[in-house]
Amino acid sequence: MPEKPSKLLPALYGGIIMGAISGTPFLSFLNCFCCAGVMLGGLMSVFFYKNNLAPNSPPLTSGDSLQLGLLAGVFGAVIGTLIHISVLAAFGNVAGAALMQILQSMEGTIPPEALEQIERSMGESTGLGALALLSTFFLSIVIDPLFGLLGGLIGYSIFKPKQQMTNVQPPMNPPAQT
Amino acid sequence: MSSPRATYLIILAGAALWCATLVIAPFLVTFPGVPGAAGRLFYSFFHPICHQLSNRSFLLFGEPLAVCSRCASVYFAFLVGTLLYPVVFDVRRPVFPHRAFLLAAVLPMAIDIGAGVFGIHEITNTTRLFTGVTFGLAAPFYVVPAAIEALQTRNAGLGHHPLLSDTNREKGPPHA
Repeated sequence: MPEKPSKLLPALYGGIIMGAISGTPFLSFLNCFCCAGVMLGGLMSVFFYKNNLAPNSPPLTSGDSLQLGLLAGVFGAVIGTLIHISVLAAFGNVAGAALMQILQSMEGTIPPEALEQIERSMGESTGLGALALLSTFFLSIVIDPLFGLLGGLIGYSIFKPKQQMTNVQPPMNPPAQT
Repeated sequence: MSSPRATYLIILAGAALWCATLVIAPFLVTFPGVPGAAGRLFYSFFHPICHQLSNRSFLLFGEPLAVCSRCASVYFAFLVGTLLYPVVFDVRRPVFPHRAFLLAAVLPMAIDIGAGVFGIHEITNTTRLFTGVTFGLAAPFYVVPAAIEALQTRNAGLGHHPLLSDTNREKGPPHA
């Protein structure tokens, strides 16, 4: 039986998706829905891995999906931080500015002190200072593998081979013929 | 700590800890004698994963939870779903519900967000709560069995390892 393909490349692809969503302005808003972008990266890494499996290679297991999600999370944290730094250096905090503009246009619905707090926290987290970037990276390296793992496990539930049924009782032996 | 029950308990403890941190943030901010920085640290931890807009969040002690109402609904429902898992299925035998149920659980949230973005209906904390709970309750029924099966496969693999299998244990090391 041929060996299973490497998990590195599918996890890297998943990590690129994860990092691109997390690091790109506006696209990163997808993560506001319970890290949907990060979970999507973990899920897609399982999809890519499943597509790499040869017909006669061992089937996809939940252990594979768990590892793929975790690994994609690590890649995603690194790639996302790199994209985040590049975008901040090139264009500044465009997404933050747009979000603040939207919030300010919703006059009356948001208390001014809350608006001030949001502005302050966005300023703290989106600066190009070493501390801000380090904290962004360390938060990502904790959160991305965690949600990537969840995405990988959900991916396994979606992409697992159909014949791989659990809890199926084997058929009864036919009665011995006399 | 490698039995299906232990795996289940680890997931349950993780979900409980995660939900506790959401509640601790507003508690620390309002609790007298605790420096405000302690609470703000928790808010900062959740900042990359949620917009944390106070008008879209549930309030506790007059302060918003560490995440918005949709995220909080998903996380608390995930905890409830994990608690319910052993009531519905046997923890020792992982069973995967059909993936259509998962898609059906995500659909209300997708419709709520989509319709809200296009101005078809107004997204409120009530719609965030119900759509979040739908997804959050369904997710553990896919995550828990997958995690348990991953562990069982790993243990089975170790069991069939030439140096660890029962047959070899009885025989002793090859060159003993």
